[in-house]
Amino acid sequence: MNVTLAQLLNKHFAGNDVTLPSNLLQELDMLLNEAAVAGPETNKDGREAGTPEELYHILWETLNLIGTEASPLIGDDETSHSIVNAADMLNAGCRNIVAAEQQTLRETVHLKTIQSVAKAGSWDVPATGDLSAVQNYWSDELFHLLGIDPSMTKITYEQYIALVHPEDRGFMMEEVSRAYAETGRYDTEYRIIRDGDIENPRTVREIAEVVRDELTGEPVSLIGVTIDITEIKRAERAIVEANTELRTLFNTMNEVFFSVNVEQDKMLQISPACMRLYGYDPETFIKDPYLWFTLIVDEDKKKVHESNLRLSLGENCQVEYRIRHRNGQIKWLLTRMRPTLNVAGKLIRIDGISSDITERKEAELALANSELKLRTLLENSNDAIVIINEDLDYTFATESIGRIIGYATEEFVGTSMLNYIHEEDRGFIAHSLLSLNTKPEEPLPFEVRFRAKDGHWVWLEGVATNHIKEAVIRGYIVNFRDVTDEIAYRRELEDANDKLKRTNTELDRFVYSVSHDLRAPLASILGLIEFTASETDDEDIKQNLSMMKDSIGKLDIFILDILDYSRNARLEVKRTPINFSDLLTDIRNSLKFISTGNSNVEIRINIEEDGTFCTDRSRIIIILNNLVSNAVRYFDPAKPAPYVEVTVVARADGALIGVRDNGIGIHKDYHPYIFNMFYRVSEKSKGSGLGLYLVKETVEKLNGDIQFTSTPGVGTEFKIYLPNP
Amino acid sequence: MDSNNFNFEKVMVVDDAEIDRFLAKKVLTKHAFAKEVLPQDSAMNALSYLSENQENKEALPDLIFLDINMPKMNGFDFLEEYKKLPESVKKKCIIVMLSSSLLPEDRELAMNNPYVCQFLNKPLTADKLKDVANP
Repeated sequence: MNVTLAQLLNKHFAGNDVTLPSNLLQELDMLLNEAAVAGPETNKDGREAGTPEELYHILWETLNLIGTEASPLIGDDETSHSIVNAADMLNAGCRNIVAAEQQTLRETVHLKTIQSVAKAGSWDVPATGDLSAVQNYWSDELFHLLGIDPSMTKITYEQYIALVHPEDRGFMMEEVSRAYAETGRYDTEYRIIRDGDIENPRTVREIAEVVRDELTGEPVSLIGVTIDITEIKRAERAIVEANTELRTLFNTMNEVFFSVNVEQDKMLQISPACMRLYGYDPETFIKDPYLWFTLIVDEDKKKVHESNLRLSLGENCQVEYRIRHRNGQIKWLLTRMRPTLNVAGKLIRIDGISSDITERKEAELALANSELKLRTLLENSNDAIVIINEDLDYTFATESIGRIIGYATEEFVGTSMLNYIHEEDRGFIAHSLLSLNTKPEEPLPFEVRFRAKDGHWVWLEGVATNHIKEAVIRGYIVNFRDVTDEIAYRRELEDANDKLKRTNTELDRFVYSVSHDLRAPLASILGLIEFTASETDDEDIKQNLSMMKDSIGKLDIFILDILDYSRNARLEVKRTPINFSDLLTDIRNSLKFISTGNSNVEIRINIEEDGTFCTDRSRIIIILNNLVSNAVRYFDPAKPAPYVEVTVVARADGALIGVRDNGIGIHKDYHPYIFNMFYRVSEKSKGSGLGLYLVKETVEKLNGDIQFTSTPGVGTEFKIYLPNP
Repeated sequence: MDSNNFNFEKVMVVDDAEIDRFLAKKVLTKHAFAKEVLPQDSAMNALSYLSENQENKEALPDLIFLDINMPKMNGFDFLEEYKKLPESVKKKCIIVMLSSSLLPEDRELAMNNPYVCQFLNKPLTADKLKDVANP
């Protein structure tokens, strides 16, 4: 085209004295030429060219100028036509330039978008060792990546290095220098600190290549791509962590994971938890594919087998069963399984997880057992439990009410308590419930008459507690039982007791009056005998009277013993502090008056007491009286100085009483019997045979202990211990 | 036995049993315990006598032997009524319980009574009389 234009121009101006300067022509020609092929490569040779709009404008002006100047000279149509054509062509050429420019613009936008999406920045830096050198080219995305405003268009290498994480700077710079020196490229990862936030560095991958001069081979620049891989890294790390966690779980979870290849009857994998669950390691399970089934307790094998059938139908299933651990322990397992079927619908693989549910199962069983137990207890108990709400309606009743009052729970629940209570007891019940409301924590015992279904009255005895405030109960819990028989029995017992008490009192009076009425005449006779004896000097009469006196004395002692026996058996133990000194003085004095007293026997008394010992005074008198009078009665006439020695040590922790004599003693053959009722050692015995029996009974009544030693011709010693209660 | 030890003018014996009144009289007389014995067969009669003679010091006994177990009014009932008699009577009379009862309760009850100075068990003997005269 440029040729065409030159020819056109030459032809146009040929034969004309108006000649165009040749350099102008040449320049025009060149401009046109360039305009025609204008594109992004315009300034490939490095020459400054201005914008296409400027170029186009210059050309247009030029042509117009030519046209205007030429027309008066040339004037013919052909010439002007040619110029117009040339202008059109120029115009078209310029349009090409604009289109090419727009294309470039589109590509730039495209590149930017790609970089932004990829979070990849590209760059081009001069290959100088100078740290303060600025970069040749940095894509916007790179700025963005570094968190720098792209308007800060130039950045030095030094500034860039400052953005790299301090720990990564060393090897990053090493990579660069190695690329220059040897490898010509590098591909590395390092961290970048954005906005000074060292806690959250961005990780980047950088791939760069050294551009060398074609002739010298010297590095000219370094071109590279920097990609933000922070998210990728994070994702990678997350995957690794998740994987580790999964692995850890697989290895450490209490649940056993397993996969079975059904076609080949092969355990593909089983997690190490099987060691805990079964006591066998995974290898053993893999070696013996039927081991898991063998370990199931026989009763549960069927259940597991059934679940296998369901699996083969492609259904997920779970089953609870027991296995025998290698150590013999029975464990409950819950196994959840998922089948995999092949295209033909055949089961090829099972994946499952088994967990140890022994504890839960045992708790469940225990609960079920205790529930069953409780229910059985409630239903079979003679006690009934009901709940009464605030309106005094029954809201709950155990089945056992049937046995007690004859109602079924269905007909009973919902009715009012007042329908059944005996009217004489209603006041008591109302009063009681009121007091339950004021003192909710106190259980209330009651005894009421209740109308049973068959119409008769049943005595109920029980306890009510206030649970109005408890959401589950909302009422009074009342438990009761039928005490009709007991009450009847108790009535009888009370009556019998009253009768007995009366009888006892009568007996008491009887014993008293008998003893008195028997004793009184005896005393009178005794008095008369003594008086008569003192009135006569006839020895025969005196002897007769003496024998009568002995006989009456015996009878008197017998009466006294019976009186004591009755008193000991009947009277309550009444404890008071005991003064043994006074007590023994009294006993000694009274012995003088009891007819059989022998004044030849010395009564020695040793007492050690601090006044803290308590017991029943009248009983201790019975004991001491009998022992001392026995000792006096059975003194040994062969001994020059007959005596009875009473030793008492009485303190707060008890009393030790010793009664020792040098009397005739008791042969050891009789020892086992001396405490027996009405036992007398020989016909010479003067007593009733009640004395020692009475002593033993009395000592036992006081929770004490009695022991004795006796040797004929030497004497007898009784030792008594009495506790201080 | 030295009769001079006894210097009671009048001694009353309250006992429902004739034999005991008889015996008491015999013993008291024999040992010259008192110049005069006043037997009373019941507590009521004894009280009447004391009441009637409350102004007559000569007629009042120096000592009363009192039985416990008597019909209608026993010894303790007597003591309750005796309490109501004027001081003149109570000052003159010494009361000694004379009973065949060996019940500690009876002895205790008697000894707790301010008008009773002694408790004796029947039968009445010379030794016991000595105890009464020289307590």
